[in-house]
Amino acid sequence: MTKKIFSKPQAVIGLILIMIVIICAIFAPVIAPNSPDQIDPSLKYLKADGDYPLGTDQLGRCELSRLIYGARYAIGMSIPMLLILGILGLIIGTFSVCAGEKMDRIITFICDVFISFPSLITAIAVISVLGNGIQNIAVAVVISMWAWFARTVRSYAATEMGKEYITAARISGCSTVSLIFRHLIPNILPQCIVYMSTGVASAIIMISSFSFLGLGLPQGTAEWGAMMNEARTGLYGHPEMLVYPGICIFVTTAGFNLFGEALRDALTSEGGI
Amino acid sequence: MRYILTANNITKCFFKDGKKFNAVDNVSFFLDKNEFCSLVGESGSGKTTLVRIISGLISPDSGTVVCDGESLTPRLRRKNKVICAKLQLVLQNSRAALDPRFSVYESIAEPIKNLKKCPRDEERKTVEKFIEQMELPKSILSQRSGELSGGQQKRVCIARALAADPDYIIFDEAVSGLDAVVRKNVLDLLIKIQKNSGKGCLLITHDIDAALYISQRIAVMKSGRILESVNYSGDIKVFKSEYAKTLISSSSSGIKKYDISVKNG
Repeated sequence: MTKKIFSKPQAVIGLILIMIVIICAIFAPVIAPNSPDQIDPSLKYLKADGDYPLGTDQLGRCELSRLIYGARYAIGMSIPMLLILGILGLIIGTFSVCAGEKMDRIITFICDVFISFPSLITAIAVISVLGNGIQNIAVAVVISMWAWFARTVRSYAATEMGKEYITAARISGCSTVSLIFRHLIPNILPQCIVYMSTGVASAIIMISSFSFLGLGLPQGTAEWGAMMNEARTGLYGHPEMLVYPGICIFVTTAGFNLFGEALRDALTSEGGI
Repeated sequence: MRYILTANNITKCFFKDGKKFNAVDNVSFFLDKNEFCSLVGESGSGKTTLVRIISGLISPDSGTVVCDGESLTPRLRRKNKVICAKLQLVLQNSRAALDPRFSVYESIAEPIKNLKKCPRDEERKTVEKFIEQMELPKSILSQRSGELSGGQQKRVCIARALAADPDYIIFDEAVSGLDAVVRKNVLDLLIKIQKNSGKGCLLITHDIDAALYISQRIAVMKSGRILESVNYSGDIKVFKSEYAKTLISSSSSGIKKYDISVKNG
């Protein structure tokens, strides 16, 4: 299985991109040449040189350092959020399939209602109620995305429940709880992980677009979306300040998407693991 | 009191293309301990539906299933481990009936874990005993079900059913899709199991040859109804219905038997 995944160039490229971003996030204080938050108006919009490899922004902060620290927000927020979403999706999705037809219909209906709201509107509503803050962004993302995960897990679980080994397990005296934990979840987990790995990209984009709109994170945070927002003011004079964080978002999401798709291809061609 | 598994006036209907049809139509049936019975019928005659009702997996629209004096429902089957262990079903497609993530050992040990609760070493001994009984090598215990051949998978499924120590075992198409040699081996194995254990065994099949080979009683099913149920001891003249005669005469080895018996009769 592992061999099969890594025989695809897109998986290798994807993983390399992901690793670069993760290493930047973990070792940001070591890699970054300067402090990301040190403001010095006298150094504003410096050209790239040895001390400031990508120059400085409108407040004289080192652009490269800010980009490197930005990886912390992208990875540090999206992955825990995805874990929460994944666990929530697994619980709701499998419960929906196992709790009987009526419950299944009710849960599917609720999911459909949540999916029909644009996620941005949900997020704006949640943040305007709860106020700014990283944890509130997380809540907003989870509220706007849980239904997608629940519905996807439900469809995987429903397919799996129709298989004969589930009937055989019931005949062998499996209770519903052990059926879910011993048979159902282990068999749908690979597909769920693939879905989650492609979901990381959309979570990163969502977080960045919230902060681009000034939702959630405090002013001046070294987050890619927020950096793009701040760079808008100097769009005509220094468009590169808008481009750099854009490239970072692009590279990170591309990494997760490439890897996730390679995982999915390896899985489907094998007909499930 | 005589213990027995009975189905009384079972009816189950399904909807197909908006039309209602009776998959099982007012069928009564019984399975005694210490007998090998067969239920024969063409594909779509309602055999599998009847078996799923008899084994308490789905509930009938009308009629009752009684297992050793207790009325059997899917709910009771889920709640009552004793009833659950009493009645085991070996499913048709053994490849799909084994969890692809489980080793052979885990698959066979599952009913013991769920229904019996015994110490680990005893569990291991029981599993090994059934593996031996199924004439399988011990080395396959650590293998995944996908690595086994069709015949081995079938045997593992049978071993799993036996591990629950049931009074009644139902084999749904136990020999379909197996080659001639393996098929004969499995049938002989089933006869041996039944003789040694005295369990009530029911073979569901569309293969009249297998039924004639294995059973003491044969029920013939068509379009959701049981046409006849006869005690069979080698003489095929006992079959009265035209359909049963057609089935026997159209099977390869049945032609000879039928011709001989007609001539002799």
